[in-house]
Amino acid sequence: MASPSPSPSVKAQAGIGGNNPRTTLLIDKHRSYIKSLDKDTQSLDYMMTEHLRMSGVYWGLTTMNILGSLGEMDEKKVIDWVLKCQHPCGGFGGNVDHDPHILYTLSAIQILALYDKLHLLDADQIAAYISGLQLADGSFVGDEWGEVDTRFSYCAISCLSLLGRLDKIDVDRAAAYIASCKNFDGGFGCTPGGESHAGQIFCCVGALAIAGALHYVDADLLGWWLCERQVKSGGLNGRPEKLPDVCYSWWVLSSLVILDRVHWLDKDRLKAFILSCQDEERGGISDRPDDMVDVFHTFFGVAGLSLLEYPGLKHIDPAYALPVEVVQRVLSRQRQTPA
Amino acid sequence: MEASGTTFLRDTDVWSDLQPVPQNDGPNPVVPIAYSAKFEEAMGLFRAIQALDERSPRALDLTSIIIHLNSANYTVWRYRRLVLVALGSDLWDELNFVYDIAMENSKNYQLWHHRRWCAERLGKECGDGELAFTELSLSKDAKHYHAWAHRVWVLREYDMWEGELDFCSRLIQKDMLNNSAWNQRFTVIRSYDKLGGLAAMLPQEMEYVKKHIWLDTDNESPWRYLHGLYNASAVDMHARTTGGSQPGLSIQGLREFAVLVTEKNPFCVHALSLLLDLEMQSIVTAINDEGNRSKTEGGQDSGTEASEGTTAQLKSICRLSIEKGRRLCSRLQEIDPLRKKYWHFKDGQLMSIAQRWE
Repeated sequence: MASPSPSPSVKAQAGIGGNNPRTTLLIDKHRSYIKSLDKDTQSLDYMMTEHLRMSGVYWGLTTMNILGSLGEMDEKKVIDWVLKCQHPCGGFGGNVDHDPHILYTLSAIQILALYDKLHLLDADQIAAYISGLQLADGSFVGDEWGEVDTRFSYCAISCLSLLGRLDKIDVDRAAAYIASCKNFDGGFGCTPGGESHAGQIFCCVGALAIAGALHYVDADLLGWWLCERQVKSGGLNGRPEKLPDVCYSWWVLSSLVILDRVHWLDKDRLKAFILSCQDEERGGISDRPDDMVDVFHTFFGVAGLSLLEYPGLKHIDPAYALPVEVVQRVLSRQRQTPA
Repeated sequence: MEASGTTFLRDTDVWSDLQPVPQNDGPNPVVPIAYSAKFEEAMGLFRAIQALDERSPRALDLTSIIIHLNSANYTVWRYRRLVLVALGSDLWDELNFVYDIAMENSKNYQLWHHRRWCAERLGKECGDGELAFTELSLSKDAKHYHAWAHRVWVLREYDMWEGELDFCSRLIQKDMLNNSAWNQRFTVIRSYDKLGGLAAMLPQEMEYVKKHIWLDTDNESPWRYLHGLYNASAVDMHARTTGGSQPGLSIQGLREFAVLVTEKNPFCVHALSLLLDLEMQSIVTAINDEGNRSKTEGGQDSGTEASEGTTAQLKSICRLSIEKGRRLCSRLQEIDPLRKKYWHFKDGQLMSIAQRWE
C-alpha cells in the first residue's frame, strides 16, 4: 500500500514545550485564513481560479459557518456578487462574465441557502434551466456543450431539492442512470464503465440519497470498499494504490455516513491525519502534511472533522454538503410553503 | 501568434483598437487583481472580445494564448468553440492544439471535454487517433481518470473494442497495481459482445486473476476483480433460472485457492475475507435448502425422523460454517485494526444467523 506516514515538519516538531500544535483544530487560524482569501489576490492561485470563484466562495463560507463564524463575512457583498453571476437562462457562471454551468449553479444556490436568501431566486426559472440539461437516458450535461458526468446528476438533484422543484425532472431515470455507472466493486464512476472514484461515489450516493433511491447501492460492498480507502497514515485515498488526500475525508466519509457505516473505519486515526495537514502559522488545511493549503482542502478537512463530530463544530449534512441547520431550515420552509 | 518573451499584446497592431476590460472579481473588487501582467492583459482583451462577441482569427489566437496560460478556464474554451464554429475551422488542426496543451498539463476537465467535442464532430475516422492519444496520456499516468473516460467513450462510440483486452493485459503487466486497468478489463468483458460475455470468459479470467493475485497477494485490485467475477457470475446464474454449473467457478476451487494464499501470506486480508464470504455462502445455501425442503414437503412429513435428520444435517453444516466464519472474523479484527469495526459487523451477521438457527 502506498501510505507514507505523516512527517510533521521540523517546525511543528519544535513546537513550544514539545507540543505538536497539529493535534487540535486551530479554529482561529482557519477563520483568519478564510478571511484572508479575498485579500490575497497576489497569489497565482487566485489568478488561476477566477473561473471557479463561485465554488471557492461556497467552500470558504461553508467552512466559516461550520466554525460558527459566518457572521464575520460581508454578506451583502457576497449576495450582490452571486446574483450578478446569474444569466438570463437561470444558470450561474463561476464568476462575473463567465458562462452558466450546473457546477456553479449549485454553488450559488448553496451560498444563498447559507444566508437564507433562496427567496431572491426565481426557483421555477432555475428548475427549467436544470431540467433542460437532462438527457433521455436520465443523465445530465453540465451546460449546452454536452459533457455528461454523474457529478452533474448530483448537482441537478441537489439544486432542485434545495429549490423544492425535484418534480421538474425525471428523478427515476436520473437515479437509474446513476445506477448504470455502478461497478463490480460497489463503487461508481463518471459514466458507465468509468472506474470507481471516491469523489464520484459521493456524487452518486449523495444524489441517490436525496432522490430517495439508495436501494441501488450495495451498502455493505461499497461500505467495505470505502473503508479500504484508509491507509496506514490514517488518511483516505480515492482509489486503490493512490496517495491519501484530505479531500477524501469528505468524499469517503460523507458516503459512509449516508450509508450508516462510518464506524467501520478508524475515526481517531483519520482525525489525526486531517489535523496533521493544518498550517499552524497561516491557517488552512492542505491535501497532505506540509503541502500548500487551499480553500478546497480547508473546507473538506473541516467538513470531514464535522462528520467525525469534532467538538465545537456545527454538524454538516453528508448529502447536501451544507450545515444540517441550513438544510433543515430550507426543507421545513418548503413544507410550509409548497411550490 | 505567441505572447512570448517580453512582448505585450498591446505592442502589436492586431490589438491596438481594443481597450482591455478589467476583471470585476469576487466580493472584494476594491483590491486590484494581481494577475501576472501578461495574463491580466490577455484576459482584459478576452473580456473585450467577449463583450463584442467577436468571432475572428485573432479571437481564436487569443484563446490559444490564454489556454496556454491557464487551461482550466472553461469560459475561454467555450468561447473558442464558438469561434471554431463561426470560422469553420479544421478540427483536425484543433486536435493538434489540444495535443500541445495536453503535453503541458492534461489534468483538467475542460481539455478532455473539448477533445471529445472535436472527436464527436470528426466521427469514426478519428477513432484510432483518439485511442493513440489516450494511450500516450496513459503512458505518462496510467491512472489518468480523464484519459480512461475518453477512451471508454471512443471504444463505445465507434465500437473499437477489439484490441482492448490485450491493451489491458499490457498495462497490467506493466503495473499490476493499476486499478484503472483492472476496471477497464471488466468493462471490456461486459461490453465487447464478441468475447461471448462473462460466462464464456470466466475460465480464462479466473486463471488470469489468480495468477496475478499469486504474484502480489496484497494487491487489492485483482481481489476486487475476482470478487466481481464471482458476484456477477452468481447474478448471471440467478438470471438464467435454469442454473447450471459455471465452468471455472467452483466454490471448492475458490476455497482451495484462498487457503493456498493464506499459507503463503498469513496476513492476507483479502484471502481471509474471501474465505469468510464462502462460509457465508454455504450458510445461505444451507438455509435456502432447508427452506426449499420444507416447502416441497408442504409440512406433510415434517416431524418425521427422515425430515429431522436432514434438518439436523443442514444445521450442523451451518454451525460449522458459523464457527469457521467467526474464527476468520476474529483473525481479521486482529490483523486489520483500521477496519476492526467492519469485521466486528461481519461477526455480528454470523452471530445473528446462529441465533436464528438455534
